[in-house]
Amino acid sequence: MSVVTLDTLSPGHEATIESLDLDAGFRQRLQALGLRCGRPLSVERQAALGGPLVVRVGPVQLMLRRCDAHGITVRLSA
Amino acid sequence: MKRLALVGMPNTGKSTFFNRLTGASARVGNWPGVTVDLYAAKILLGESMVEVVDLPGLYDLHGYSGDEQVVRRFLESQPVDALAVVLNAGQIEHQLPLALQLTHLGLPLVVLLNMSDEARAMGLSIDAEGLAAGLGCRVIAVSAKYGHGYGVAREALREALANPAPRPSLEELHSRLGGDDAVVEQADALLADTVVRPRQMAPNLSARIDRLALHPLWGIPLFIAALLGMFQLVYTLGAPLQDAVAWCLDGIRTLLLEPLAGWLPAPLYGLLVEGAWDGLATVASFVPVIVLFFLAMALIEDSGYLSRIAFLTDALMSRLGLDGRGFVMLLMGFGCNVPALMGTRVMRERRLRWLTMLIIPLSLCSARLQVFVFLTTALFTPHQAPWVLAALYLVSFVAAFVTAWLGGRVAPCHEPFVLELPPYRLPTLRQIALRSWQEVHHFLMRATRFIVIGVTLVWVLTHYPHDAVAGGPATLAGMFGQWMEPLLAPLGIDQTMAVVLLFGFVAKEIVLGALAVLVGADGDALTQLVGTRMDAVQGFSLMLFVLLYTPCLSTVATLKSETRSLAFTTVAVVWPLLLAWGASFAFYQGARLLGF
Repeated sequence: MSVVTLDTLSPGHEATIESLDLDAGFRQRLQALGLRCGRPLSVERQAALGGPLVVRVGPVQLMLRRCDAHGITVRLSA
Repeated sequence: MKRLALVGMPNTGKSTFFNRLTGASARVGNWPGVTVDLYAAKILLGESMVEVVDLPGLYDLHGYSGDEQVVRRFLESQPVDALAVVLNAGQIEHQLPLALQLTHLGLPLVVLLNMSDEARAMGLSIDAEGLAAGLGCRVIAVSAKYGHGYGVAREALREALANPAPRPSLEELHSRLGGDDAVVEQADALLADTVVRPRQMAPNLSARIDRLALHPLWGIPLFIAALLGMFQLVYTLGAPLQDAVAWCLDGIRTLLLEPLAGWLPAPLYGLLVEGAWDGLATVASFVPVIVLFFLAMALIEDSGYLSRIAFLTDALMSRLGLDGRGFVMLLMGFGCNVPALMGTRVMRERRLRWLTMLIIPLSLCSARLQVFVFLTTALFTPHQAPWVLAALYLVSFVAAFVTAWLGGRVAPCHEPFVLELPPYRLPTLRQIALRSWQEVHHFLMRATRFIVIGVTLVWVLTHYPHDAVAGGPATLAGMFGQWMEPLLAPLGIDQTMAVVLLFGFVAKEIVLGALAVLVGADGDALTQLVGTRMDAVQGFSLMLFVLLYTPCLSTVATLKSETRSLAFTTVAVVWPLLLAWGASFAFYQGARLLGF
């Protein structure tokens, strides 16, 4: 049960969102898309060459850049 | 007249519903206080006329992106009698907070649960009546794509509008558009009572396609292959259609126009038949290819593949100071640069948006495509032509990337962004038919506005003074050509082309029509005559120049209205011109030096 930032996860990992340390407007956007504290998410895939991640939150698949995912702290599911 | 506004998140099928409701009679409206174009249509609902406005997609009412600010400003500044909120039923958990937020506005409201067929297929069960009770408004399951539930929805909208709710004052509305942490809790409570989602989602078709389409190694080669396949299909299907249209237009000329206009005095006959008609007919024969091309683009757009392209290209684009969305806009620009420029509204960071807007006009749009299809056919063997065209697309990308890279050095920028990857969907025949009609309509509008006037003017310039040899150095066009000669000669471009390029600034379609007028022929004769006027190296240099030089008038107007910056617009006009001249010069002189 370790707490890490989202960009360190690999495809297949599941975790729960702990905090969103992002600029207010962007946090607002993520929350509207369902990325809220306490919600579970899973990393579905990542692009080559340091490209973005695909994260699943509930029914939605989202693409996030790794540098932006760095601001999201998650608790890894066992 | 009462006014109904359509609100919803992106990817909810809001515009599909709008088109179904209004029968695609939409016009771009002019809204005081709202600086962007919104689609609106007047329809008969029950016994009264109602104006329906399609607002841009938004995630919430906080105004994070430009589009969301537009919606807010619209709701704050325009009287609205009722709202139709379109939700994607398959993502009800994420969409309900927006609906709840909107109920706080106090306007009569109807919630349309769109894509309910897709939600059912996912095993999702939604208690619409429970939701209606919780929201305090009608909730109707619909499928905008297939038209299910559409009659009930119309009836509910009529009722909502008939409901004489007092219009809230602007101040009231403004104060109600406030913060909303409670909304999420309220939404969660409501969802727990009304929505049942199967715990484990079966791996569906979308996931299986993505395993291949988004593969770290195969994703990009597959994307390029799909793009090439699309072009191949467009030309295989388009060529015979193009011949058919050209044949019909030629028939009209010989059977109808020539006998009818034969009695006209020679200058007038020349102006109408050899000027306006030949110019327009040459451009019009390319309409089938363009319609097919837009259909293929629409297929990609509606399928959900675009956001996958953003995913695949983001790593590359981030090294150029842009992001995957910018690449998607470049692709959209293949159709027409104008909507692609408007698409950049999703970008919030001004430098990022402006840089993206700077590279979009370099994208090889369908108007330029007509010119290139014509010239490659005239100057190269059928075996070479597709490769020449592919090379031009490559140049278009390289020019955009170089511009982005340079711009990124001047003004580096980064904007956090998130994109949804919707499930893959197939558009219906109805959507496809609607789309092609819109494109034909768009062409006819441009034809009447720019092309006829442009080619007619070119005819006048190449035929006056009337005692001069047509197209010769003594005509007005010839004089202009001599004046431009020092600039064009190093590029291998014939000075008679100067006037054609001048009018190409208005609309790139004119380049082709003007060429027909200049050479004084159309159809196959034109193709052969052009072949005698320039060789392959000159032709390619001309195409490079047409590809890169100043964007067309509509694009420039859009650049200006979207940025409201004269300085930026000037850069966006001058930079491509310099780039075009430099590229053509380097190519032509280089090729000649190598002995071609």
